Amino acid sequence: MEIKEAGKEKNMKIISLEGKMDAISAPEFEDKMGEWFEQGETSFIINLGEVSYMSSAGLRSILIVAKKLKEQDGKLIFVNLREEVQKIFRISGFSSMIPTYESLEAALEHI
Amino acid sequence: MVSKCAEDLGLNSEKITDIGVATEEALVNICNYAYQGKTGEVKVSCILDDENRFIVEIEDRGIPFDVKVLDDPDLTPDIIERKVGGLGVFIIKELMDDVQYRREGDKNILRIINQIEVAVPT
Repeated sequence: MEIKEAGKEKNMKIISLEGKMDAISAPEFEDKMGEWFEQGETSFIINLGEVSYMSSAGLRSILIVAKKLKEQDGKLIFVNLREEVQKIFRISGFSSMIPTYESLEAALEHI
Repeated sequence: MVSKCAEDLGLNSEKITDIGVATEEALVNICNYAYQGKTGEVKVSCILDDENRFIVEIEDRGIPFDVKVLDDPDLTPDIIERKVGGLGVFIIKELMDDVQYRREGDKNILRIINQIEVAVPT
């Protein structure tokens, strides 16, 4: 999985993920988010447009990161979820727990 | 391997992804818990039976682990209260049409089953 920085808007760091979010790659996401967190970033928009696969290991990392950010009054928003990933978010109850938007623009309008 | 098998049988991409995720969930559980820190083997086979069910059979010789008796996780709490983990087996049950488990001697045999729809000629 590739993790790319895609700028900053409305004080939120925009991150773009590409590839599979599985048991092998999810810890990378957690570590990278941890690094940014240590640098003082607490609000993120994560673009999942290029993520075609999400397993419970991915959800686990997302929840760990979300908890950490929430404790610091930060924000974690996901945008551009593909159908496969939306399904996993829906099944696991993540859709009602973590804000998701259909596009980056839609998320920025609502912040 | 499982996804390739499903692809060769002409399953649609949604089913292939579902089967891939469910298989990963089962294998990750075996890696994390079955052999309790020791190494062990796992055997994975794909079967298309005569009822048109695509079955992934996963066999290990670890500690008994009946996925069927696990309670479903509570999906209602907010981020702070939500428990980390416990979603793997739940995702298998939700994505697949049926999940069967049996203990045979020292083996756990898990079968995750997907009913394949056959196009009816018009």
